[in-house]
Amino acid sequence: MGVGLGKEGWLRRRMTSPAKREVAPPLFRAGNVRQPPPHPPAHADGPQGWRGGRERRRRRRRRSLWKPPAIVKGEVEGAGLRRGSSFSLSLRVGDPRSPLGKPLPRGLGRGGSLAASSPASPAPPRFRALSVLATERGVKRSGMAENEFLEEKTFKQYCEKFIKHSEEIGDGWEWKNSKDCSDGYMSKTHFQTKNGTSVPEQFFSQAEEDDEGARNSDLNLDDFELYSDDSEVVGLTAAAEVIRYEYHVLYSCSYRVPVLYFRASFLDGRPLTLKEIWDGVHQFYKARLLQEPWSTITQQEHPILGQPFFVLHPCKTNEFMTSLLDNSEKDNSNINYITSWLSIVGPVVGLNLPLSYAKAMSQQDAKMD
Amino acid sequence: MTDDKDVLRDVWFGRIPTCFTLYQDEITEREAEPYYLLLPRVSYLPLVTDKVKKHFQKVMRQEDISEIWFEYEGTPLKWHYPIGLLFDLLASNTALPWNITVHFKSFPEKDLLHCPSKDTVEAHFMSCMKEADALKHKSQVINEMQKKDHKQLWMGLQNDKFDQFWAINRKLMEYPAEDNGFRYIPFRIYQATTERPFIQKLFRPVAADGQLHTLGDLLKEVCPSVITPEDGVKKNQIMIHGIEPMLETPLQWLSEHLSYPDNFLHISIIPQPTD
Repeated sequence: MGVGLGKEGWLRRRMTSPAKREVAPPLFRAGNVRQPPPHPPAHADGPQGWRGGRERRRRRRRRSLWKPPAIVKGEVEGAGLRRGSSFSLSLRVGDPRSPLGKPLPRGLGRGGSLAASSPASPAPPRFRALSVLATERGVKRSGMAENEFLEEKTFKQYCEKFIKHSEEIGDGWEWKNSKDCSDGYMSKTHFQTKNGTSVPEQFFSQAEEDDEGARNSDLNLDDFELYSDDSEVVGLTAAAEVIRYEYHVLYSCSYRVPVLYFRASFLDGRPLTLKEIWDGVHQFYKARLLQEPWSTITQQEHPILGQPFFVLHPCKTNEFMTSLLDNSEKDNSNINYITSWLSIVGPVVGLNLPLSYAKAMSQQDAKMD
Repeated sequence: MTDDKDVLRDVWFGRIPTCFTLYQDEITEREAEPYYLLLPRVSYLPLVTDKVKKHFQKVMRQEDISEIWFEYEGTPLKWHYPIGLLFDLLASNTALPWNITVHFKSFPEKDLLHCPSKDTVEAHFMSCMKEADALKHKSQVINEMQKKDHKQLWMGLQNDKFDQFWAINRKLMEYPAEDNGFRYIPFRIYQATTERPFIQKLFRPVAADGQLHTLGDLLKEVCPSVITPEDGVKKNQIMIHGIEPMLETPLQWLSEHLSYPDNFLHISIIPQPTD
């Protein structure tokens, strides 16, 4: 083996030693989740007490009416992740309660999306109330070859299914092909006022996909009223306060994960600055983003359009998706990677997924039985 | 016969003589003289143009100054591209010095990223390095480094310190003894005529049979239209750091020696000059 001190021996050791990872402190500890022991064994048959603890936790989790969303605590054994590492996720989605136990103020999660759903309705056993896990038979997990990475072909397949459902419910997602190449991306545009109320698209006489930005001459505010979720009449809003959001889901071949690009502009074409975008991020996510530099919003060049967009950095996506996928595999349910991923990262930047994505997928599933 | 390592120095110390002229519509209190500067090929515009900014701001009023941006023959220059790449792509076949126009107004929001401070450049640079290492080593090498090593890479670039930079960067150029190269080669191919800013794909430096892939193999796979057909006329120049490497050069070697400090091979495809 040669534990030599020569360069080669050093190199071999260097390249095979496990990467040291920084462990982020958990956001908060749900009362029913026990803190795992610090150095868990890497193998499945560890000391009985540890294993028992995990079983207990898993059983406890299933019984609760709602699940702690994308916070995945504890150890992830084997596949994909560095052995023995533990981590907790910084983004929480679909959790109607803030870490302090108080209900989240409205502002995110409008329009019947997951975050606004009440925890009162019990979830069917296979269905997790957290990030919208669309179950999908026939999409084998092994399609994600090689250490949980998402291959580009598989990415396109997941997107196709996602868009199919989007078309069914009129959620506005569509696929755009790149002009010079075989790749492409998912795209959605929606309009929203500063206070978070959605503006239905039919009030804009021209459908989006105008890269120059929406034209406010097309918007005649005398013709409609804006409604909040409670059907209160909010009243007319000046055109200047309506913001056009554009979301693109691209595939990063370097990190082998999807990446969310987005930009926002006022109707007169003026783009929002990073500060204005940041001001729109909910307080709850803001605090967490500031702690976790990997999920910072930065301005970058869109790799296909070449224009400035904001991006949620993708380098840790694989970590949180891996454990999500591991858990779903243990439960013997297959998921649509894109649906799950987007339901985690989207709400941070004002993009919510209606619950029907998951429901529809499991209905499709049932039909296939 | 020069040592391969000398190539690293030649690449690092490459310079482009540049003439900065203030845009004629900018409001000045007296006439602005052009400013001449040797720009490092491997650096970024915001890192090396402090003196340019100061020079022009001396003749302007404070209220007429907002974010500085640069343009060449009508094309806004993307500060997040290395200077050498911008030059090769846009101006390599024109006479020196490179004439860049300086603007302080009407920032082109649709074309350029904002650069409020040098920290933005640092974040972008480190992000590129991390992406390159994700391709080369599944991020293992860069994640094992300490924060001070990352800082040393950045300071080495910012202060033009070859030895300081390469003391750390050499680790990113290593690979396991049992492999013949990196996992994938970090590269981007730029062509000014396409809408798409660059082409980047997964490409291994070593074929299944153990043969090293060449630059020609990469181009054939990723953008075959730029390769000259057998008996055809050469339409394009394939340029890295102002030179045209032979298409038979192993890609692994190019990645180790002709990468920019961000560890990417930025390759420009430009039309063959007619003269």
